[in-house]
Amino acid sequence: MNIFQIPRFDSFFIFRRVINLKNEADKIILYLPNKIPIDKQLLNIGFAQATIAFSRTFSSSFPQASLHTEKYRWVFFEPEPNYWMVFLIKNASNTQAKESKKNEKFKYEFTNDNCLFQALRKGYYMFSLFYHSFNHLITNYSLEELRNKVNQFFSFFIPTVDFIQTSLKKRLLSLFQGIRYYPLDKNMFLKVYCFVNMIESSFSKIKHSIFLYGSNLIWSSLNLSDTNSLYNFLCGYINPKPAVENEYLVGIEEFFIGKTASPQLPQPKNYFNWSLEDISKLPQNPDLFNYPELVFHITQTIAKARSNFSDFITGPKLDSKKNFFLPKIFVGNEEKKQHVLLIYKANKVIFCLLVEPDEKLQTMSFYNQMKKRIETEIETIVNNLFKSEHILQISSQNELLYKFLYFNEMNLALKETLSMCKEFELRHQFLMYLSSIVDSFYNSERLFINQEKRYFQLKNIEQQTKAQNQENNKDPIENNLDSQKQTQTEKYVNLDQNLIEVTTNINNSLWIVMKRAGSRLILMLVENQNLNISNISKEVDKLNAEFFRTIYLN
Amino acid sequence: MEKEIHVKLESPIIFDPNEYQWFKFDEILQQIILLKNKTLKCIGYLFEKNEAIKLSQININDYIQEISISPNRKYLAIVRNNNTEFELFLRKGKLKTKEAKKTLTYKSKFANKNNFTILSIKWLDNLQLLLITNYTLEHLFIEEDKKNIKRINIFKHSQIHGASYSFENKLILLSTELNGKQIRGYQFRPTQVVKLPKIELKYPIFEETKKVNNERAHREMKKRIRKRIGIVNKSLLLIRLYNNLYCAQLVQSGLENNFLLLYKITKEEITKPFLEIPALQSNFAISVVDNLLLLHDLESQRTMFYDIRDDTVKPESIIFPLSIKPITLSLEKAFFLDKNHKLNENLNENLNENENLDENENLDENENLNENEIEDENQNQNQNQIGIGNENENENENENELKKKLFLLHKKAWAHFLPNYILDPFTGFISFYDIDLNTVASCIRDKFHRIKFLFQRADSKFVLLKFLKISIEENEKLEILSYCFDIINHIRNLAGKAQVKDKSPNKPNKQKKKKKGKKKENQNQNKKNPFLLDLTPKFKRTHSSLQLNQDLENNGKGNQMHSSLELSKETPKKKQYGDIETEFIILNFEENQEKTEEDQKEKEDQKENNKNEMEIANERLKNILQFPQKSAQGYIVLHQEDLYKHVFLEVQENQLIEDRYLISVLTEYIRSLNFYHIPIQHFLFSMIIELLVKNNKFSQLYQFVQFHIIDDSNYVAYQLAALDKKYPPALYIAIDMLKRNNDFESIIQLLISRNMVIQALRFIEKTPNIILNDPIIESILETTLVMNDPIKMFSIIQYFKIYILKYEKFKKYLDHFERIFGISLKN
Repeated sequence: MNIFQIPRFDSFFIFRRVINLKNEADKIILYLPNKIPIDKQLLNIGFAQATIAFSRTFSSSFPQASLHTEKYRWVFFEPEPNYWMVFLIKNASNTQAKESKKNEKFKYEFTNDNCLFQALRKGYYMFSLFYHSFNHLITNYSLEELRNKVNQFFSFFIPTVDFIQTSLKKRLLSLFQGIRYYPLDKNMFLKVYCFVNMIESSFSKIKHSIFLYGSNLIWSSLNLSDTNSLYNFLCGYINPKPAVENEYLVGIEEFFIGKTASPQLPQPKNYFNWSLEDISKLPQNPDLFNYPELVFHITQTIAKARSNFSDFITGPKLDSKKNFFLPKIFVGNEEKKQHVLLIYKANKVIFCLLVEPDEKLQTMSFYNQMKKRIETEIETIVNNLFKSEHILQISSQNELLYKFLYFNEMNLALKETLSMCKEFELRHQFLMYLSSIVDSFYNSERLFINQEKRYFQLKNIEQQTKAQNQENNKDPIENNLDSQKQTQTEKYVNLDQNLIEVTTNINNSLWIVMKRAGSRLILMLVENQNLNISNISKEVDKLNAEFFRTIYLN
Repeated sequence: MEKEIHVKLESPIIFDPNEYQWFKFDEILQQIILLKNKTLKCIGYLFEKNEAIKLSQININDYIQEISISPNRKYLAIVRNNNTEFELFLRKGKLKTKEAKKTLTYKSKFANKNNFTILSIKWLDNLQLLLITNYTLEHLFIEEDKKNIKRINIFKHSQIHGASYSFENKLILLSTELNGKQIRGYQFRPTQVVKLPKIELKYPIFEETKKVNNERAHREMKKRIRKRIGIVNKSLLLIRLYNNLYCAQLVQSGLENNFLLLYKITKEEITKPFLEIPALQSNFAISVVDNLLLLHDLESQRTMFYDIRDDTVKPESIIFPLSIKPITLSLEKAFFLDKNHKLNENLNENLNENENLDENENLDENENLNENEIEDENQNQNQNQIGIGNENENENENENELKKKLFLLHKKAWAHFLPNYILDPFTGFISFYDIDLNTVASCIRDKFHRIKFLFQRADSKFVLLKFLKISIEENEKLEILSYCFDIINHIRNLAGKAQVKDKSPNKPNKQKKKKKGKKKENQNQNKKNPFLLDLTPKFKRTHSSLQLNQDLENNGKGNQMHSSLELSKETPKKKQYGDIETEFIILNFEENQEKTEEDQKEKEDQKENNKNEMEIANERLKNILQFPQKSAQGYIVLHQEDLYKHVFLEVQENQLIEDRYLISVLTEYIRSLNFYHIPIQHFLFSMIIELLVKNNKFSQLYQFVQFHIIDDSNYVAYQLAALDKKYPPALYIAIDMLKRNNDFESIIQLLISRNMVIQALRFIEKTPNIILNDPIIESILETTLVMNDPIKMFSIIQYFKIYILKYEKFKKYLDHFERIFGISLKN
């Protein structure tokens, strides 16, 4: 009898590297699931530490790595110097029980390093949106506070990670953490933008704003990475996709079609259950809000909201008018500043305002004033957007003739029509193959690591130069800083040198074309047995002519 | 005090009334006609020059009642003391001799009737005139060939008391019947005469012709000026406000019941009085400046503004009565006709008469000032108003300051002429009212209202821009600015459409057919609404410029003429209030040409000056473009250039506001432009890009390009490409933009300049329209050499193998290749 097991989450942990520790357990910041005995925790952390130290001898930077063992997949991420986040995933397995002997064979191809790494990255950036950074919490508060917050956040975040990625779409989407922009015409966009401007200029405390329609971004005045993190958060909780419980299971069953297997059902989605009681017991800190509280507040408010809801989700609490719920987030280009996140929802529109912390925020009149201002304008905008949505549906029917994915690194724009590729998505060989192609094309960490590294490197250099200045009383060594910036941007530009196009055929029936032009990437699938490679190239040209006429794709 | 000044008198023409036997203001040609020793002098605002006409066959001892000059200034009609006939003089000998000879006499059929009097003579056009007597209105035509005056039409009435005439609309109103209460209107259209239904006035005409208001002044005048002057203050006037024609009745009955009554005149009828404006005193006058009705209360010396916009009187249509005192008289651009005439004495008297204690201090200063002024004038004929001497420098400085402005008060004896002229028969000056928009507009507190008000003014462009700039710098609410921009662009849009229509005559030869069509259109419009389109003033303008040119050639030597030319250069052109769009000027110019071509005597001159005409026409066009352009509705048109240059750039330079706010304002403007489908100029985008880059808002810049807020243009593309060091994606945005503009060559050059040689080659291969040419090959090879990348060099030189081997000029690359790789390319 064969028993198949899909890849399983084993553990997730965050630790820091500290010298001269009295207690070995102090380096653990978070270990999930936390029921695991501390010895086992330390064992795994020690192994991870050793692996990192070992691989450092070969690569000084060690930006991202994964370790493949027979049973497990380790994925490492160093978001801040000396802080490590590690995923430990148990590989899929096929157990053949012959009489009393069990013969378990592991299959490593179902997990993708890049996808897992992206999940870690996404988690960290979302965390840093709310709590700045690990280091910030430790230096400004305490290790205990850091542990609390990390625990609160990641126990909500980890269940949202898809470790299995049975479908092509899921896999690709977890790889390309993109933003879906709403394709609006110029006049409509300007209307929205001018509305946002009007609100911003009417209330000087508003520093940034972000405007979404459904899960599509229309405008953001934040920088790209902050926008991405906030977008991910908003899409996750405010616009949850209709949960299709069975999709998950059906996928798994189909996964083993043709095999006499009864797959083990995946574990319940929420590994670390939080109840309302738990949340009410959470310590209240005026500076640091509790992430579970935010999630509960939002989900509850939205659940209560009616169809014509047009009000603040965060800010004043709807049920008890005296209290205010003001989550704070950190955004900014060079120096991250704390802002209060006010979310306004009207129909499908989500309008987020980032407000400078101020006493006014504790008064109801401020919200009433703002609400009045927003309400007068937003209704027409919602109606117009609703109309444009209808038009869009008609006009986008052409797109459905093609199966493609478009990703633009420059603004993280993502567009795909892959949802209907059902025939092929479950063949694991295919998934593997595709993953390897995508990996070779889109080495996602390159871009992001560069940005992140740059941030920390620049900080270090700045500190160094400051220290030097204090010592020598000399002018700031700007040149050093500039040259550093220069090399970083050059790296960025150099990405474009890897300009490739790959066309492959799988099983004589599916053609995959991947094309990269500068920072843009297009993946196209053609399901037709009777086509040869020149036909495919024509198909690609057709697609380009239809949708990408206006951009440089050569 | 200066802040309170809202009304000023501009560019006075100053003369000595004692020098002349007879003078009169000619409303049609906006000139003063002065008679002295058989010579008529005409000085006008419209023509910007004076002209002397000798009358050879006129007995100056005769009493002259009326002199009327035809619009082309060819004929003079003179009515002498017998009042029963008029003589027509033809001005002969072109401009050199300027002699007018009596040619024709016309005597009315009814001249034998009792008390037959000629009231006035009005010109319909160059050859048609109206004779108004106390019994008849006669429509006459001059038959030039037959040297005869032919009567076309005659309209009899039992009694005619007075007439009001509008030259622009060819409309005459007669007050008839016993008390003059009944008003008859005639409009002389090209093919027909339209009689407007008669209407009874609500109040009787108080005095059909009031000679001079003040008894004392009248006596004084008689003392000084023996001959009768043709000044009458009328109580029935035709005024035009915003393309609407009104009949204004000044009810000056005495202590109470003083009103200004407005009757609207449509093409069918004269409506019942729709507006009664109460006046405080019986002694008041009106003028129209820039479609604003000014009511001068001569007793209390105040002026009220009325902005009568719509047919229906809404509370806001009468915007404000503002009390204005005093008035400034700007002598800066004054023209002195008689050099020995001392204005100061008269002014002195003038001001004393007003018996205003407050002004006495000013008065003394003025006295001194004027003496100097006139001395100055005598010394420097070319009117360079530099200080007199070095001895009294300090004093002179003060005087120079004051020289520009003389504070005046309303003078009871002033004669007001429409639209906005005054003639002071005692002091001897003519001037016109103007309003100080800056101060007037700042009196209107309501911002929307102020903007509306300013948009309808003739010369408010810079005031408007100033107010816009100020409100931006004061962090005005975006919705108010948004409203402003919407108005601006709405008007711009309407004007733009008209422009497209009317610009076609720019190419006269090619588009003659179209032109004719257009003329018909215009005529049709004319017929539809006779009051809407008014071509004549413009015609006059061009005409005058032509004559001016002739003068330049013919009479450059004459001393007086010389000074007059100087004047014409220095005096800014008088504003034409209530004009229609400037585009019509081209059409009018051609009409003018046709008319003059008909005239055989002037034909030769025309031919000689044909080239010059075109030049002048072009120059005028340029000038006109500098003048504020106005839409058909009479609103000021603001272009992107204006806003950019005078608002956004200045705001940016002053740096009083946050860049974020300025970006919002700019996008608000762009939104409005987009909404009205007006193509946006690249400099607005450049400014936005500049501001975004300055604040490191690259992500926002990308969103702007992504949603096509920033339109594609090569200029913007190059600007973006230059940003690629700060923000690498900018290069791709630029390339995208160039691709959308189909500028493939620029893309190749851009790629090569960024050392992206392979990409450039790939692009060339994939794009069918591009042919590899030598310069491109050379630049690619040259860049490859500089890059010093052996692999790329190898592949690229291999790629161009055929070219390199074929042409001698690529030999150096061949050598380079062989030197580095040690192999020969030929194999």
